[in-house]
Amino acid sequence: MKRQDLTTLEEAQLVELAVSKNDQLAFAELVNRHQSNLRYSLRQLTDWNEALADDLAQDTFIQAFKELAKFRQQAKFSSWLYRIGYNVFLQHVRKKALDTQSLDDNPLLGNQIEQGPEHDEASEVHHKVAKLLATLEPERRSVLHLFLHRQNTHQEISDIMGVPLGTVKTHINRGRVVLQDGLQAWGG
Amino acid sequence: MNNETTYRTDQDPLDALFASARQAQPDLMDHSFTKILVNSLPKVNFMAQKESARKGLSFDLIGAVIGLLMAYIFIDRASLVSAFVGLIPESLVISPLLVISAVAAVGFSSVVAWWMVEDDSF
Repeated sequence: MKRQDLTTLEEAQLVELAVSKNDQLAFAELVNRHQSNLRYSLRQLTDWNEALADDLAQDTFIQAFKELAKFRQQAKFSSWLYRIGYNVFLQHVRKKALDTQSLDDNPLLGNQIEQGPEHDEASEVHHKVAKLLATLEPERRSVLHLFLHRQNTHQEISDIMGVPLGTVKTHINRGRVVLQDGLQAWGG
Repeated sequence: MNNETTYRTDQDPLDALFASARQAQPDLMDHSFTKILVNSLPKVNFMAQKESARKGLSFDLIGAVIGLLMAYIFIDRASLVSAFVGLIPESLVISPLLVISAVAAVGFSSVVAWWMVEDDSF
């Protein structure tokens, strides 16, 4: 099947093609559709470390390809993919003990954001959000990203991350307080 | 917008910050991302994966059937039932101490369960 034909297919059909015919082009089309969102999310979770986020995104897609036969068509592909991405991110954190910087540890953090000369106004917002999220521990960071940026519901977050609904609500309530305090400390 | 976000207001600086990030989210250019990825994809035999999952399920079913048959043949059901019946106490006195102990046990279990769910280290 030609690449331009693949762009018209639904995701379920692309998965079926990739699995039943071992069609890597079909999988490449899925990657095309989701790479931007996934890479952006991972940048937000890794304190805007572009190289690391892209590496994690590559690992996520490779893992997704290996487990493609297990994908249930009833689920949203993006949710399934994000679940793998979150697990890849968490594995990385456990291996490398990614920093969860707090404002108390690093009071100059806010100034760094305000002063970043190499960023335009839009990218400054992304960096600022990433820095703010980096003050939270990884699981809470992912929950807050899914809730505040992706606008997923509590139940969707619980399903994606495989954590109890009560834990999601706790993360959101406590995380919001920390982020609001952090934002206030940076002067809004 | 989901139901749980209806309490948000435009005045909340945190929501305003995330809203502006969401609106300004860039469409990240593919460049060579997909090409590198497709080149590094491992060879996966999806048909073999499905076949192996089917075989695993068949072995489980066969094992369960054999186990049930053996239990039916070798276990003396009459003595098993009478042993269970023997475990049931002839009388049960609900004393204040028993009630307090039961409430304490349920309370303690609830606290432990809550702590395990909420504590991030688990």
